Amino acid sequence: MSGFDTYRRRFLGGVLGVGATAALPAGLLFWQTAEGDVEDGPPASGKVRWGMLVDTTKCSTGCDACVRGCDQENGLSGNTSPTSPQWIRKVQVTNPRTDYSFSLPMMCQHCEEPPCVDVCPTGASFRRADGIVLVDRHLCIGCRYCMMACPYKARSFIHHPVTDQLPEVPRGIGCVESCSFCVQRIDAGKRTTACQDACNAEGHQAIYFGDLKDPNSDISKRLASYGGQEVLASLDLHTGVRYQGI
Amino acid sequence: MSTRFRRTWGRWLALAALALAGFAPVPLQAAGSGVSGTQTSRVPLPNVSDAKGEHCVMPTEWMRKNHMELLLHHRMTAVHEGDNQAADKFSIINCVNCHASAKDNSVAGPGDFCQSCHAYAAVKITCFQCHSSKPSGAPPAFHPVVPQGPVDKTSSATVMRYQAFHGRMPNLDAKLSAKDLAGVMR
Repeated sequence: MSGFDTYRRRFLGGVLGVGATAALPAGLLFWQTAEGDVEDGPPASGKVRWGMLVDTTKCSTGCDACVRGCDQENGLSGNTSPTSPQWIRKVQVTNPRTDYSFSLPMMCQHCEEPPCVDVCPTGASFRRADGIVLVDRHLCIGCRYCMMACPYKARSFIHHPVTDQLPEVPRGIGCVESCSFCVQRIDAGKRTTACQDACNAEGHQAIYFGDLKDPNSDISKRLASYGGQEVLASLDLHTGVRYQGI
Repeated sequence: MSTRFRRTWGRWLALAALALAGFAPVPLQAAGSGVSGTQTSRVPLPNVSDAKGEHCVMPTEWMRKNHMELLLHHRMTAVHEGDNQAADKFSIINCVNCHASAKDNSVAGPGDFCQSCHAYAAVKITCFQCHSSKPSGAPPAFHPVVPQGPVDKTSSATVMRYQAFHGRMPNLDAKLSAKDLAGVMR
């Protein structure tokens, strides 16, 4: 992080210097533009940790509204072939001893100790300050170590050229990608994910999204009241996605 | 340093300047004067005229030299630090919003703003393997007048843009007003 700070400070010094010289002949407008950027935007902060709670007792078998909502929000094709990127998969789980069967969405669990980040040779796989695990596609070389390291098989590789991407969700051939907790929405100030909206629109209300560090958030209250389990909790990855009823 | 030495050097410099002036290529002069579209050389001159609004977010001369530094810096702040791309005047989204051509609504097609200059300079441009080369829903704040094109309600791209911009699906049965579609279609 300090590398970025150093870079940012040096760069902004340069921009402001140029802005100051430009302001003299060209009026104050350019100066305001350059200065406005310094103060702009709420950056990802360690004061929050984004998390998700899935109530499997409300998740309906056969329903894939969350998958479709995710595809639409992020510009995915919706294909489910072995080489098609899938950010959410609906999984049917059955206990062979009791025949108790339920359905759940499986996606990137946004671990606190992500194995994908540990193995990435270029630093492309990283965990943001607010707990979202992402791939920096500028740095990704497509080696797919992270896909092998992920115990949840949550990551996909883009095998084919992509066209008509959504402007807010850049994605292209040769990179690994996975659920981003709709990071483009969060950075724009929204506080819901596309899968959550789609699930609510279907009337199931099985997905809750919010700040795990805020004790007054809806998700924290639900976790305090009903609990929530991590998948493969024995790995001690401290996932950001929790499940009820598994 | 002796006067004689300085004079000798001065003569050499003058000779070199003359030689350079004699060999100065025509296309460089044309490109320097900002004329585009005229065919005065073997290679087509870059198209630098596709831009909306009155001026760029920084002085044009500065941008010509330093736009790659801005993009490099903002890729750090956008991906790692989570700066809001819609509010960021220097984001690549806003570059595309202003510089997309009227011809194919893109910056990366042949003859378009980014592609033509990069072809002229022989610098490979890979941004648009991942980034959208077409304008997004939200027009830049300082360009209020956005031409509105015909509305194709059946296009899935329109619906996706609408959803991305408004955060909800459009009601396709109702008639969409111009206000609803501002920033969605252009």
